[in-house]
Amino acid sequence: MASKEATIYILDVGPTMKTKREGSQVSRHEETKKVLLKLLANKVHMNRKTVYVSVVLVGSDITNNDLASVDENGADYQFVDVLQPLGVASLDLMKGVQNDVKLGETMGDCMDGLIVALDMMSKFCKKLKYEKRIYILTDACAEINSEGIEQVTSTLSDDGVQLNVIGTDFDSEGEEPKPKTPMQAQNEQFFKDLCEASTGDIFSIDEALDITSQFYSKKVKPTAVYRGTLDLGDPEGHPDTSLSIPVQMFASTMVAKLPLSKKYSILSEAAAADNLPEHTGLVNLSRTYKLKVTSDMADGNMEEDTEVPADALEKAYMYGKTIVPIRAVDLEAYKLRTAKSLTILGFFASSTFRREWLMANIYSIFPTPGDAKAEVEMAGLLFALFEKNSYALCRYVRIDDAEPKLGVLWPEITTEHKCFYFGQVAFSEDIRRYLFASLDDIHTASGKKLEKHRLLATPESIEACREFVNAMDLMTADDGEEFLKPENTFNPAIQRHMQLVEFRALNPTEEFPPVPSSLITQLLPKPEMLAAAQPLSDNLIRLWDIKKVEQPLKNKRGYGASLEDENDKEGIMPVSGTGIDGSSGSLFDGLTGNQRNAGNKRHKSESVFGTATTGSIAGTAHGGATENGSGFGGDMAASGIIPFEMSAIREVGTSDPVKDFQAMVKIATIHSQQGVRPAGAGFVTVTMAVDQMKAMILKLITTSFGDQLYEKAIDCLKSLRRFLSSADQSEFAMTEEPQAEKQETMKSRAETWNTFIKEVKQTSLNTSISPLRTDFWDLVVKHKFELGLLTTKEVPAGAGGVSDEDAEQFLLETPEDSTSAAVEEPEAPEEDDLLALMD
Amino acid sequence: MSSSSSWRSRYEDNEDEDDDENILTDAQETEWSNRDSILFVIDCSPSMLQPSEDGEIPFYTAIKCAMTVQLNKIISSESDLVGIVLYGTEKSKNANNFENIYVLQDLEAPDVSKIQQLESIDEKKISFDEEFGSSNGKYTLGEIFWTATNLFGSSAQRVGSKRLFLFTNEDDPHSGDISLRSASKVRAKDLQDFGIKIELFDIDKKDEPFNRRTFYKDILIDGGGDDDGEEPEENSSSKLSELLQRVQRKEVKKRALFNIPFKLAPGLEIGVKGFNLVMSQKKGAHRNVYTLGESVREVQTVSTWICADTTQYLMPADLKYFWEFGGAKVVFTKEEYAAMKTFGPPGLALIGFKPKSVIQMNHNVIHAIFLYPDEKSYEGSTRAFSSLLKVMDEEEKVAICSFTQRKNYSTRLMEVVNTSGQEQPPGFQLIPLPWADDLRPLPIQTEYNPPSELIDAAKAIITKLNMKKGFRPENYENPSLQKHYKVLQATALNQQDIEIDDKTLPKTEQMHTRAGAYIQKFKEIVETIELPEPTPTPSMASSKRSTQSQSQDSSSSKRAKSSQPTDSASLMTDMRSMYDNNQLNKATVATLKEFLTSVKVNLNGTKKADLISQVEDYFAN
Repeated sequence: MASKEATIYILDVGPTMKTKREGSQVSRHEETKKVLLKLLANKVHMNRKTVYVSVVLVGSDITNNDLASVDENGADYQFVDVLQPLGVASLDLMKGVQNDVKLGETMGDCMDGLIVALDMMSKFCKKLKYEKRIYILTDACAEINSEGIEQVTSTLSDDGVQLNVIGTDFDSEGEEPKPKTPMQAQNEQFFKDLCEASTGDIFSIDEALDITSQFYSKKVKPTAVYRGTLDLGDPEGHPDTSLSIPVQMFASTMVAKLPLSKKYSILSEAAAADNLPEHTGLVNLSRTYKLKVTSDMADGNMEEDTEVPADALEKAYMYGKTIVPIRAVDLEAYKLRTAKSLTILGFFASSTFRREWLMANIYSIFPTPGDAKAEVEMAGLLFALFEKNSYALCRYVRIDDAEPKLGVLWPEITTEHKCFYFGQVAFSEDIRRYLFASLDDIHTASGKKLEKHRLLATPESIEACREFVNAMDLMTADDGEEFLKPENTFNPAIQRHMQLVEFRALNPTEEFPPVPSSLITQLLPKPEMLAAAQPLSDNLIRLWDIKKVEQPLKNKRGYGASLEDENDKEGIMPVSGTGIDGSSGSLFDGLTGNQRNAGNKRHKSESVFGTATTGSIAGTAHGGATENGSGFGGDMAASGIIPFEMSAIREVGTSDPVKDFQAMVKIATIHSQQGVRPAGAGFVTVTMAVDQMKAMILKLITTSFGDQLYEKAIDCLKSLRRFLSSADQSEFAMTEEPQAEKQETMKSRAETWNTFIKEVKQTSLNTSISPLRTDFWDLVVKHKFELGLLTTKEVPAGAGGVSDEDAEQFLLETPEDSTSAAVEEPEAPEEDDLLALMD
Repeated sequence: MSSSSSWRSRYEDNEDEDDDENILTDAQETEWSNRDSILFVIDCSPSMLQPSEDGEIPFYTAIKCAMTVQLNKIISSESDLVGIVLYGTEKSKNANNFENIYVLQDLEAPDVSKIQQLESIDEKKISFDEEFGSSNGKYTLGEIFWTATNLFGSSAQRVGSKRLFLFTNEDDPHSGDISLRSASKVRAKDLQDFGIKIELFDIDKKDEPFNRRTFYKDILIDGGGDDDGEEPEENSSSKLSELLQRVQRKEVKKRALFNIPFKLAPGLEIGVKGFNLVMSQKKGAHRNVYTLGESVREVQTVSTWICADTTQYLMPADLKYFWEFGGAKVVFTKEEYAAMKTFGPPGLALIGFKPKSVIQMNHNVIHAIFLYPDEKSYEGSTRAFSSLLKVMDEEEKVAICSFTQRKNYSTRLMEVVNTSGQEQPPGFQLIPLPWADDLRPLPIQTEYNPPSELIDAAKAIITKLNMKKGFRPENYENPSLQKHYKVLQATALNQQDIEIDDKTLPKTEQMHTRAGAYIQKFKEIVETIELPEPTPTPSMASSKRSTQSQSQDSSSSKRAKSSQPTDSASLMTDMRSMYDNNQLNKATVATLKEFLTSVKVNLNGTKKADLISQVEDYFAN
């Protein structure tokens, strides 16, 4: 791992390499180059100064090596071209291999190449310790001069060089032999014998491609993070009755991260085009400190940007709203003093421990190597904890004055390994005490436990779920093996990062290749398993009956923005299609004008107006009167401007029904005042808003999980009642309708409320439905002043309403009593009652 | 950057992403804000200023309570509101100009000056008689409640819970005045209609226990005791001691970390929300201040990026990112960078199930996330979720899922484990699994098995030192954090006391008493048994150094080494022999450096392998 490496790659570039293998799209040369580049890339990724590589070409038109000679005996070591002598693996070398390697005219002898390589190796490595490897990539077509083979074999084994040969036409293990010439077959056998003698092996090109495309994960040298003692008791005060075992601690899990990126300046890139001499692209960080201008000194003549030097700064912490400076010396002086230690606080049964208390990565603790006594003492503790199913709680201080950590030790005992695992656990402050409702325990307000509820799983669905869970078992999913053992999964981000850095380095202008499927398959269920389990999952779809809740459009950024873009592309009809007459045109002109100026973000209102369904516009039951809209935000209505964020709302949604309702009412008011005809899409009426609000309230009541949604429903009721009570009459001031008509509107609204609250009562007190909602009605009664029947004194004069007594009685009546009352029309108020209760 | 070392910052390596914690706000949670507000209403009648039987003066006890609550709030939830109203005072201070009501502190977030004010009252630096004076029992309770209602009403901030803590020893105010009494009740009812809960801290007068039924039963929501005359379970003194307890734990508002679909099969998705129930609580980021001016001023850090070549200022759009690869810079756009980390849209996707028995506790990398169904995004999520929960519990299975928390976040494999049980919220824990890249092999092997008498001796120790209730996180406060809070408080309030009780220290005396004899026995057995062969050292770790580690301080071994006389001749001989025996890796980095310097070779790097290679080069030539 940490040792030095020297690797020489011999690439055959003889003329036969330009041919294609049967069924292959590219030439043998391209294939071997691909493997070589991958091998080189892995070395480059290692980014180590002690990893040396060299590339030697055989069959090249160029002869460039130390051994080459031409004399009377003939020419030796011809066509062997040392592309790079042993040196650091660099991108330039990879580029050279990719772009500059040309096929030669003459067949080269791989034996020549190998001897040159061995010579380079021994000159470079001398007698130093290296991991030495030679790879030959060839089609094995050329004749091999086996003269001196014995010497080569003995050099390989004496110098400890591992030889591997990758042949384009070699047979893959366990597969049909490939068609090959007698020469190729002979050479394959020759290489096989040679490789085996040097502890190496031969590979077919397919095997090589397969191996080189496998995941690569960086090996890390184990380094102890703590060398000290594991204590039990007080070794100083009571040396005889305490333990102090010399131990070392190593990381057992440690998140491997993407290498850190650095910032790159585009401006420098642009300047480089203008022949700037130095082009590094580097970016420097400049940090300056300026006094903050606070509101209390705004009147003073403080200059805007007072810069202060970094060394004049002190640290400060917030104590409530007060900023408390603490001098660096004090900070140091007041620090919690701790001594480096790992000490046991006590033991406890493993069954009482909760996995989710583990806070961080895991460490392993071993007795200090070479210390036999430490090993015995620790083994005693380890085995005892194991047999007693216990863990140890300990306090860990990595170095003097480090913050103490709390950890749990548990034993790991296998034939080869015996150690403690150390997992950091939560302090009191790290635990958040949030409350969550029970999932299987739903009670009515009266305390009765419910057996059936829409939130409860039915026995049938539980059994169906059980079949599904058992069908999706991973223990034999990977060809009979366990699928996704952590040991076999690789961080796709790291692999993808390496792939893309390599790719971009060699092909700066090309599109990225797709994500390798081997990375994706470890993130997805096995298709065959899904297919087999489909009848079971289909059954669950039926039994669980999950419905996605459409979220109201409210995100202006992020996901919402892309949605808008989509709508935009669909060419949504502009507002002119809504049939607005001249007088109101200005409103929409203003709006659409805005949208276009503001770009994408503003397109939502357009799309919403465009896509609203006319079908959703209910008949105006209360005649033109209700279309007068509401007084909610009357000033807004007066200005005739529909605030943008509101313009999208045409439906009372679940997330914030009160806001939606108020917005709809406002829009409706503006529409009616400006005379927008109820023909266009996106048109909103008050009746629509009221009806939707009513439906929403009933939905909230009947679908609430326990009393979860009750508060929301109460808020909705309050908002609806306030509107229907016509408490805010400013809207009426806007219109020029005769007084009688206004009164009619108000009256019909009051009636709408009084009828509806009766409906709510009936629904809540209906004993035939499950779950019972009587508790909701109790809540309504609690808010009786804000939710009761509208009384004469609550609505404007002449707008109807019931007497206070009737209102009081209505709330107190039991369901039996109220059945008749519910259908009765509210009675006209009586003057006496009014006066009597006016105090 | 802030110190919020959240789940994300532990994994994400892109330092350029937005700094905020990126936590989705749960619509429901924000709607019902859980900011707390407490108004202390303290009776200043003469009897409240007399020592009671235990020697405490009730008025000052109430002030202490208010102070402790403020000290606790300032750490735990600084935006909660606390106010203090005195009544029965001679002086008056309130918006309505009511007599005998003194609003000492409006309902506001606690701060240093408010705490100091209470401190001064408590230490009698502020004279009660001069500042407030007692009206000898003259006040109108209705007006007090009115004032309280106004204080709650005028506070601009939305609050979740509103409480009024009433401290009095008068169980029969306005006795005999029916109109004042009924007015009080009406005003108290107003308070309740505003959602303000009155909590009565009743104090017994001398020889006269407080009787809640005389008057307060009509004011308190729960009636101050049942009709059958039973006292409410929680009596005032226990409530008081609870108020006086110092608990400095930062409270984190319940917020969902994410709200994503959980895909179980094609066409089968439910909604789930994630919460951090366990997360390392940090001290909070420090700020920089400038203290050399007239007053302490906060400082803003301005970071700018400057192009090294052109010295121009760079906007975010002018930046790309690069990695070094084989000596070249390989450049990516921000989008390309983001895209290489993420492998799918935000969500949790089921891959399959495994038996609980195969999961390993040592496969942990960071804290877990709690998973709870989200009915609001998918109707029916709850019933599906609880079916899964039940089945996985009964079948003893865990689910393996792939998980992308947010857009452009890295994708990880997760274990979904049912850990619900007694005292635990119902739901799954989502435990991040390590990749092979994150796993480190165990570095040391041994086949040694201890004799059973040794194991038995160790078992006896474990039995003696067994924590019966197991490990409970709530029993262990983080000493560094508590120290930090204490120092902060002491500095802010000019206090001297900065000592804390470190609850993580071992109780060594107790251990000595309980298990000392057993530990001694264990050690005796160790002496009698045959020691195993020493284990081989891990990789290149030096065994020489580790044997010294028994000594408490690591500095002594360092000193010993550097002071060792090493003349260059002996160094040369040592190195040569190590080189010849191929044992250079046994030399320490310090020795290697020393040698190279002594033979005038310029150090080429700091890594051991680099140094060894230089030494080898030296001898090879």
